[in-house]
Amino acid sequence: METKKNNNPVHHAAACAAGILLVWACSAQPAFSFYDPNTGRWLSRDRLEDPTQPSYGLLANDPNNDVDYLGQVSLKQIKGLITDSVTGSADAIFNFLQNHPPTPREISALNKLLPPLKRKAAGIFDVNTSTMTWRDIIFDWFFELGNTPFEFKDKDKTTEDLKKHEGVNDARDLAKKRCAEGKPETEKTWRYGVDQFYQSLSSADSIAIALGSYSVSVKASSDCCQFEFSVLNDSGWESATRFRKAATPGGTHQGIIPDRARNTPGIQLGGTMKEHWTWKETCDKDKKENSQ
Amino acid sequence: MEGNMRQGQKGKLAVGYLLTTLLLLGCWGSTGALPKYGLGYNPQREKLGIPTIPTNWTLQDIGKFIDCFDPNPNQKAPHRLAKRIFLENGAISREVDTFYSGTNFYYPPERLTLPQEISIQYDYAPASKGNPWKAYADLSADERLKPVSIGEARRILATWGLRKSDVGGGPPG
Repeated sequence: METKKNNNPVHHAAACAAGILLVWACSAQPAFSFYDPNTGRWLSRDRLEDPTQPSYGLLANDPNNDVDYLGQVSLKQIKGLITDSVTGSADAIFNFLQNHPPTPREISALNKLLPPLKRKAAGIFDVNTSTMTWRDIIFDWFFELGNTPFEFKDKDKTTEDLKKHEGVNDARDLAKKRCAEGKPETEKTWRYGVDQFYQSLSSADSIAIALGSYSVSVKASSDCCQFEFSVLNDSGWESATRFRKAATPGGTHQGIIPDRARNTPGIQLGGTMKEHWTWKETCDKDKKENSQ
Repeated sequence: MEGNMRQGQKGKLAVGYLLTTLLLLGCWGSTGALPKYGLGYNPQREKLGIPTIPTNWTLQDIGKFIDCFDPNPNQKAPHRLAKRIFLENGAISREVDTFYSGTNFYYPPERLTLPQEISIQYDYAPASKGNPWKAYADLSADERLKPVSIGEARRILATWGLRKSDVGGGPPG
């Protein structure tokens, strides 16, 4: 299966809906086996299991990594079903939009209705980079609020969150390692693939949901004790509706809706927004000297 | 039969009323900043060297800001994209002009194709706060959101073929 990439909130909503529907549909089934949640194992054999196969045949004989929650299908199969339902729906929407593009008259009529809506949104969602939350980033993108590029500095709310995120932690570790090898510059991209997508849903990872994939650059000082971080992200329709197909090598993803710059012709919603975070981190020199 | 037709007509009338009400609400929501800081503010912009708003542009009052843009740009040629005028407590606080080169670049980390853009900001806060001008160039995967001087931004815009009337006079000196 291709790795699917995703960036923003639109398809997350669709995926959530598909996931909820699937879980609801599955939970409506009667229990097929006795399941021990403490061990993640089944106490009895699955009645639907092929008796000629090993006990954990359905789980590719790997019960520890591929838990059979429902006694019928494996986690991988559930993920596959959700992914297929989301991509299938996305494909249908894509084909519909390709065959039924809105006419200039329809776009114009819709755009005339948007200013009052945007005025309301501007009163609700924060555009101050010091106090903005991840939710504000999503809605500022959608309603085209604030000033792009958004420049976030040290101590800003989202900067403090981002410092602890997996992608930044990975980049920090790599930068320290590379600096010790005499390489002061590090580039690391945190990819929002299928696994990250499920993780972000289950752990309510608002950073991943708001940003999707993002790139981190780190510049280290000569003594490897000061690190300058720079995180870049672009929020747009392409990445928000990208669950349809994974990127081809060197090519672009094929989202359901193409990117559109703010204030360009088309429906005046979701024009591409750019975000940039910068901050510095200094190591504890005493600790560093003691450890040497 | 006749009853059904009447009901259909009533339905159409209701939709018409709804659309008219929404359109009126859209007009009624205007804050009144548009005449003051829209085209009416162009002489002040000229004095400061900020790009003025062309008379054929569309202006939208969104309350906390005013959006100004060309309704029919030639999207394949370098052009001035838009101006956003920010308001604080009803007074002008900042304006941002965006320019597009007409070409795009590929950004591998996010696997996106992005437009080559330059944005120039002017902050109306008192001069004691420092340089009111700020510019960013987003030109290639290696030069994402690069802060540039206003002079450098204007030099790049000139290489794109944009005229002084598009770019503005810039800061004095």
